Amino acid sequence: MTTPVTSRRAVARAASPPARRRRSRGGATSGAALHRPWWVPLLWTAPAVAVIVGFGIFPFVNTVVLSFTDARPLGGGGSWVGWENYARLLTDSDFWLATRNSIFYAVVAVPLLVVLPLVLAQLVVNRIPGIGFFRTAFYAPVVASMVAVALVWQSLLSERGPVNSALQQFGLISSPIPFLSDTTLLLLSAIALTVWKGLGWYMIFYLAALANVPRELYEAAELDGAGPVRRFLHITVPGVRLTMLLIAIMSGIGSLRVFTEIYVLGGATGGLGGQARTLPFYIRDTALDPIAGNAGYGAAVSVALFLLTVGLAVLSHRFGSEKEEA
Amino acid sequence: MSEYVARPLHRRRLLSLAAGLAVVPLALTGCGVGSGAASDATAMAGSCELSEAVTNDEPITGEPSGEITFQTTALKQSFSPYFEDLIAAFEEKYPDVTVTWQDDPGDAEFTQRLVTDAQGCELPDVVNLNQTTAYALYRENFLLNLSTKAPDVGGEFITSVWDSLVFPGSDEHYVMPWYWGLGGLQTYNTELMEQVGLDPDAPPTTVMEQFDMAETVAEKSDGQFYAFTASPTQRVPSDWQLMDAQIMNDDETEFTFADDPKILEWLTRFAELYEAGALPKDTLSTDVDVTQLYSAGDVVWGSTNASFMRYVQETNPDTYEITGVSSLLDARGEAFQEGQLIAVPSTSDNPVAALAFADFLLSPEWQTKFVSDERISNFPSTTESLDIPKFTEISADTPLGAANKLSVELAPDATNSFIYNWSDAVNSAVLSELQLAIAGSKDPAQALADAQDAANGILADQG
Repeated sequence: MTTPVTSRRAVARAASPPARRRRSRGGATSGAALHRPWWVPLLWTAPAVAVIVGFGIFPFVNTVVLSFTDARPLGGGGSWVGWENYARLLTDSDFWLATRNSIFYAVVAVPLLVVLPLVLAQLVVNRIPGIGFFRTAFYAPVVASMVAVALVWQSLLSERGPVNSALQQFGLISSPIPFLSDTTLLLLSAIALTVWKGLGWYMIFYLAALANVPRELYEAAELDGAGPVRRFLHITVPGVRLTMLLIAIMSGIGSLRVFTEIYVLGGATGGLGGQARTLPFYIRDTALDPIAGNAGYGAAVSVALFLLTVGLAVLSHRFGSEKEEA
Repeated sequence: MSEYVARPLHRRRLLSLAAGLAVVPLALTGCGVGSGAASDATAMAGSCELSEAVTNDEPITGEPSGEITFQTTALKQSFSPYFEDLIAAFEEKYPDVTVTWQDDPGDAEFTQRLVTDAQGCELPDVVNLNQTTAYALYRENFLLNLSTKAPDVGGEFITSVWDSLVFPGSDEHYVMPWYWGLGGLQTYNTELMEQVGLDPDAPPTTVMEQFDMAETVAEKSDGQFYAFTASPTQRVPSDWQLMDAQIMNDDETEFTFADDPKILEWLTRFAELYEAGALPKDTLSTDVDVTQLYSAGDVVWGSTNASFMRYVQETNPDTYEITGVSSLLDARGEAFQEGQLIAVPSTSDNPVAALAFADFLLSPEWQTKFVSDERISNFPSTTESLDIPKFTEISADTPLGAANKLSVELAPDATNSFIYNWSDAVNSAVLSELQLAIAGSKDPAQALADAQDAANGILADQG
């Protein structure tokens, strides 16, 4: 005797208003989810998992495995050599020089990339006429090709380039500054290029974060007599602290991956005598030469770079945690 | 209530997770190399199994059919009509064959892209290579042995060119010559030479004479212009080859350049020129294009390649008009032949059609059509194609004409003396030491010794 019941449900469904019907369907869907085959969620996530496995986890595992071999770029998997590549790392002065350069790069570039975009964002956060032009102008370097931009910088910083010419014309220097041939100046020039090109990108992050800082806090502070600097230090900075942490991690990773800036400004050897090579530069030199490359050793250097990157991320995280607890 | 509620207070946890996920691929994805072990029973090229047809001792024969891929290097933009006609003519001759043409831009990543193709067993069926990349592929068995599989292929090439195209340790052919250029010329700004009291009608004939003149430039130019670029990249090892210095031992198993006093003298004098201001300081390590410097009138000596004259003509006609051209062959006495190559990879699925297409591409008829284009300053690789008005009736009235005329005169004696073991890694290691010596940071003899040790270490490591 189920027919009357069914009929009553049908009548009730027909009589219910649309909104109620929608809720009813939602409820029915939730109910149906309980009876969904176990593999359906896996099916939905499969494309993303495939991308992560194919382009993230597999290369990672492959690189770790390769680091224990003497594989060649063109010669297949190579033979197992145990810890030999890692032992070689410890005594390889070129590796340590590249490591030192990479760390120097990150130590100088990261604070600049954390602070300067925030200052820039603070300058363009207010909606005043014409501010869109400045926002666009600051963002423009982000979309330019790094190679093209680096070539322009090479021209600017060359012995007879506009920078040296201007400094000489104003009588500030008597002979050209060797921006591109002195190792330290070359690294600092490359850092300046990285920072200049990254400013607009991170400025966007800060603009989004600044929009979430309650305006009432600024108004209250202003009523209490806090000036612009105090408001910046005590409201803005705490308000965007999480974004600062994110940018520190992202720019840290980016700084440890620097290659193009050094390659274009310092030439194919990586500065005079290869003294300005960073770790990615060194990986390219050791692993990728099709005749003399040692992919196994290059993989070991890659693992070292990975550990360095993780170390930097952990340090940034710790630093952020302490700040919050304090 | 659902459990899926946003938890803003735990954003730092998300940050850590994001960072952790980010660093994994960031640090490492560029270095993956496909694994694969060679089976004792199957012939391999890297991780790719080779078919019986390409590894047995029998020549490849049969009627061409099927599909092949043909790859050129940086030719599509300027020479598309030529290649479209060529492919149409080939497909008309062999109606069962379809040719897909692709063009690599030929930038700094050219070799790396080919290496990636080779790792994936996906090299084009007919491929345009430079000598370094060809040697790299040969070393890992990626190139078809032409001496065995196509023994008649070399018949129409210029004998000296064909004979010199064998790799170290082998007397068999794996590549075919295509178009080629000459090294051993010098181009110079006659007006700048006169300004410092040098006679443009008596240009240097040896590298050391050129260094003597560079000293004069340093003394008398008052820093207004320089002799040539400081980058050893432009001059090593070609200067050493011109000086007939001993760069490697006779069987090319060991570098010996540090033991040759001529090379020590070269480095010592180069460093002195740098110190004296004869060379622009920041060109020592940066890869500044000498053509641009020359075109702008910043250096007396330009490129050693005739084809660069066209660029000077376009960018600075005034400099072009006062450019002098002559040979600088030093003790070597003959020019370098530097060429583009064509190869059929051993991994090709269709070697019959690939060889037929390579033969068609390199035939005298089609090479003649190719080099007849006025934009091409290179030579063809077949004897018959050299006998065309472009090469036999050259007027030396213009700098470009003079360069072409001189090239034609030098071409018959030019040889290919490419040092295959002078890999990018060796080049980088040697240049790094030379830069330190030139900058005055290291004693020249010590720098050469260190460079030689590094180069031999790389050689030993590559096996």
